[in-house]
Amino acid sequence: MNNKALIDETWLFLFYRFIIVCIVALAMILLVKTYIVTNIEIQETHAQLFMYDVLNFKQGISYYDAEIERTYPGIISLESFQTSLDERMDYGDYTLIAAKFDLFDSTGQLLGTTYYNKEWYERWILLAKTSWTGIGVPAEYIENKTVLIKNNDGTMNQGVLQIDVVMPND
Amino acid sequence: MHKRGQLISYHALIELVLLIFIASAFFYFHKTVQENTVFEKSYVARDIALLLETVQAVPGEIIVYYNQPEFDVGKYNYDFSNNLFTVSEENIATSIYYSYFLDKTLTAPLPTFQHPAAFVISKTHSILEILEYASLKQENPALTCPNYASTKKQQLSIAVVADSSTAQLQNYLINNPTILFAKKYKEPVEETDLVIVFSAESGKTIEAYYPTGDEQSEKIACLLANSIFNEIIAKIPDAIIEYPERSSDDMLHINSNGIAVQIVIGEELLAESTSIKNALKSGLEEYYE
Repeated sequence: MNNKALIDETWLFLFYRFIIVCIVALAMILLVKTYIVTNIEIQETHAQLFMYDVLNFKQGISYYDAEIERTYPGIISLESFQTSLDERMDYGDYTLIAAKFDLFDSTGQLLGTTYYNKEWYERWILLAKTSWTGIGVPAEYIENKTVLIKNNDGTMNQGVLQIDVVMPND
Repeated sequence: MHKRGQLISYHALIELVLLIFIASAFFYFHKTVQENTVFEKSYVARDIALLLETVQAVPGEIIVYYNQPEFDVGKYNYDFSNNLFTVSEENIATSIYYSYFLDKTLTAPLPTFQHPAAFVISKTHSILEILEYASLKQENPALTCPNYASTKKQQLSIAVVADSSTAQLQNYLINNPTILFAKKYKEPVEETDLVIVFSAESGKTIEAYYPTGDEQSEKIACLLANSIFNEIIAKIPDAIIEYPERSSDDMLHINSNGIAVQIVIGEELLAESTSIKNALKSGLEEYYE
């Protein structure tokens, strides 16, 4: 073999060695990164917290007796249910969360629907129904709560409040 | 030099440079991982955001002291503006933020904090507040009371003496049926198991005094003062407690049959009379276990 061929072969060998060292270093970095958790997923907890907040807030969906300043969590006044929650709750202009509330009686008949942040609910729900995932993509969380419905004549009936929360993934 | 030898030395040099480059990159990565605070910031952002949302929905009043045993909350800066909770560090570009919902009727614009020792998140009188907690407990911790065994086991008789500012505490101990002493007096009585003397002075300090040389009185003085401090610190974070001191006050030496204690409460603390009453009850229960 002449000198030129010898030089070329040695450079080629050096190049392969460099590539292998790089691969080993990258593998170690990947291995270390695998064990480091930086993502904390609390979106579902966040949505559930919102549901409980809305049920417990005096400005929320539960019946509030202004005279004695007391909220009755889980009792829904049919009269005030029809007014939009946007008029009662003010979570600021930041579009973080939106929700739809469907109230059913014990036979399953829909008595009414109200929204919080309706404009964004209608935008996000379309995306939430797709199979897309990732940052910024909304997700939908639905829960049914057994409630007492306070009718306009003061009587109470059992019912179900379906809370449908939609919020984008942070 | 021989051509082949020259070639090998060049190779060795290039290889050495490349290896140094890779090793440096790897150590830089290791150092970055070691010093990485993204997880901490991410954790604290979510934790406080959820806590804020929970606190505002509490039906009554609530005060939460927020700190982290795992890491130093004071390492970071915090900004609560625009429903976006931002955790940042000086000289580090990466800030972590997390959005939260906040009822605007409950609060004025929330403040920003730089290296707070801890947070106090409170909802009282329909106002949500976030304040910096100046870590008073570390500077002024509750007392470590003497570990003497209590010699009095039965709550037989108590005499409670008070001035006009502390008369409500006297009435509480005398008239409350859950204070289980068989006999209760409003003046110092010689043959009494326990004499408590209440008085007030300006400030936010809780002081206690006991008769010279009486270990049992020292113990109950410490327990009562500690109990008041522990109850009241939640409401008045800058309350101060001082270890009980010996006193030759005649009032404390009238009682020949038992123990005596004088509690001096700062006038600014007396507004929290319910807390003080609860504390007195639990302090007595702790002594008479």
